[in-house]
Amino acid sequence: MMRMNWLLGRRRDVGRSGGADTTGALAVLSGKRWLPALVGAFVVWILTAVIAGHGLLGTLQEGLLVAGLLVVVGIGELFVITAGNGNIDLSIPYVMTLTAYLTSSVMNGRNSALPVSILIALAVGCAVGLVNACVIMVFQVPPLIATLAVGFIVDTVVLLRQQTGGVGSASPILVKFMSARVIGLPIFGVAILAVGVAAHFVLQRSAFGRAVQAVGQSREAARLVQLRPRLVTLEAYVVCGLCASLDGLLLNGYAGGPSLDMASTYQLGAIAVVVLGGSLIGGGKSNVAGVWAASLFLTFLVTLVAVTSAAAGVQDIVEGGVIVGVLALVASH
Amino acid sequence: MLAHRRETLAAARRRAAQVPVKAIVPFVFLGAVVAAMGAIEPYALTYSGLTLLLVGALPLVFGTMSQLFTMAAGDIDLGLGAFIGLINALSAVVLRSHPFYGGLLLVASIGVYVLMGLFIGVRHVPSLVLTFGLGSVWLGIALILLPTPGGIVPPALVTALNEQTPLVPEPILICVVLAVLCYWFLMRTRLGVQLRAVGANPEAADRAGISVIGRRAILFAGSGLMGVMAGLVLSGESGSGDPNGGSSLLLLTIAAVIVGGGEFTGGEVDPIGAVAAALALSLLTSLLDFLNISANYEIGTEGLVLLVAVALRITSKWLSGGLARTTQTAEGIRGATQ
Repeated sequence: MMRMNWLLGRRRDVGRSGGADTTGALAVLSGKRWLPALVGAFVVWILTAVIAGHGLLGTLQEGLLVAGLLVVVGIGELFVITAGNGNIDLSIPYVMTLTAYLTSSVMNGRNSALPVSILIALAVGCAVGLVNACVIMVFQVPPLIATLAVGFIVDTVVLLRQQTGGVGSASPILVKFMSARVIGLPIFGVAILAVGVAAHFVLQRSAFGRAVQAVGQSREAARLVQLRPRLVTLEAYVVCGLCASLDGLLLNGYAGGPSLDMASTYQLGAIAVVVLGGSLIGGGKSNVAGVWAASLFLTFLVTLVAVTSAAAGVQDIVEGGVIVGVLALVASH
Repeated sequence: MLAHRRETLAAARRRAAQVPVKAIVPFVFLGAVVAAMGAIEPYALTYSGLTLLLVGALPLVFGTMSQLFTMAAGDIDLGLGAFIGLINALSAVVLRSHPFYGGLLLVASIGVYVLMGLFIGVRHVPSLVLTFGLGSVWLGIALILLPTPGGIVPPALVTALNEQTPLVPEPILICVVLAVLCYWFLMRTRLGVQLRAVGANPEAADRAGISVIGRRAILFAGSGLMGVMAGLVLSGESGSGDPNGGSSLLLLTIAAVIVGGGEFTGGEVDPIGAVAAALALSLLTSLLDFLNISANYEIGTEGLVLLVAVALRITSKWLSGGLARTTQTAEGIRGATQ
């Protein structure tokens, strides 16, 4: 087992201390790990609503929509990170941008091409996930470097595509799906809430999800109970790739059309929501509710800083400072 | 007694034979890039050609050394790129008009890194996320200091990088001195051994009576110092400030430490190999320019080369591991038959 201090902190994770009598305390502690993010989201929500003047509901409407986009890739990243052993996916923004460009030119404003676009998105995500996993396992390249290098290569494809192909535009149904509201709540946000619940059950209840957590906790132990760590890790990367490519499709519908740096904030954002949400960055312990809470928190925070129209630098300082602050709170539990 | 002596001698020889396979990779990489450059553009290998090319490589070389100190502690610094940009902005805005306060701020920046090391050690936070958050803070401060690229750095910084040294171009001298100094400090001094021990196995170091938190703070002081140097060198090279000037360096610094023979697991670093790898990675960009590879392909090619270099290094590790095992087995058999 490799030791990676930069990932695990100083190995004081409660999830790793083991022992039967810690189970109760563990449940309480793990329940609390995402609390700072939720409280933070709540506080910033109210602050934003008061300062921006859109009211509580208006702020929540827009927040659910934007946070939903972050939640999708956050869940993908959660699967990879939960598989442990230093696994992490930095190729997410490049996959998103590539999918946005490819599907946008295929759809070209037609609803009839939407099914084909979804198939293309699935194919892109699946392919990049497989390549990531293969590079990591066959060539034994550390995931941090491997997924970034694969991301660079995907980025080159994006650049070439951007120069040769037409830009096109998203299909009206997709645009409608991203903007429509039912009793004041965005359909997309509610749909992603449902996706979050589904992801929770996949991770906590399904054989695959439990295998991912088991592999993240101890590859050796997982192997001894007849799990196949390499296969499970590969599947986690494919799930992450699929989340990223589908999110690229959705982001395209939200933004109306692709641009080169449309997804750049999702690279570290996806990791940030996993960690701020209380999942262990070293793997083995996941929390989907935390991903949602942290996504709302980050989204409201960005809105808050934007509406106070502070200088560009202030936004970065506040975002970074909050991540450090919440991290200190989470880690002290 | 004699048998024992023979055994330790064999062990020492084995260790000596083991080092080159892994340590040679960055130099092969560097040699290949330099040879390819020389073949395409002979001017690149003249005194002035090398000076031009290598001055541009110096920010990455110092940045790599900063990352190397962090990785020796078993941590990783995702805020390094932004930190280098901040130092660059500082030198363009404050250092020229107020040299004293500017200098004070530079020293304070090193202090911030020490605090970072202490915070990681005391609060047990994963450095990956902490440094990512702090990176955002550095970028924000740099953007407030210098909203758009510009400003003028102190002329002394620029002239310091343009000395006409006899025979060997100045950047090569700087690289050699830096590599040798860091090698001596980390690999040859008593403190260096303790520092690496803390990164490799904190529990064992703690039991041996070494203050883990204190030693990590020293390593982070090294990271801060090298990060400040990287920012100053970047300023001297570009002549002006750019808050985002260091962002492209971040991932290359991690890659250079790994390609140079370091490990993600802490404690295992190779300063000389890392300098060679940083030079190679930096020259690779120039090589791609020489080859007239369109800027579109550049980032993808870099990604590909990065993968190949890391895969190569790991293959070489298998090779050396395999060799060591074979030698061991052979000696075991010999010992058993004697």
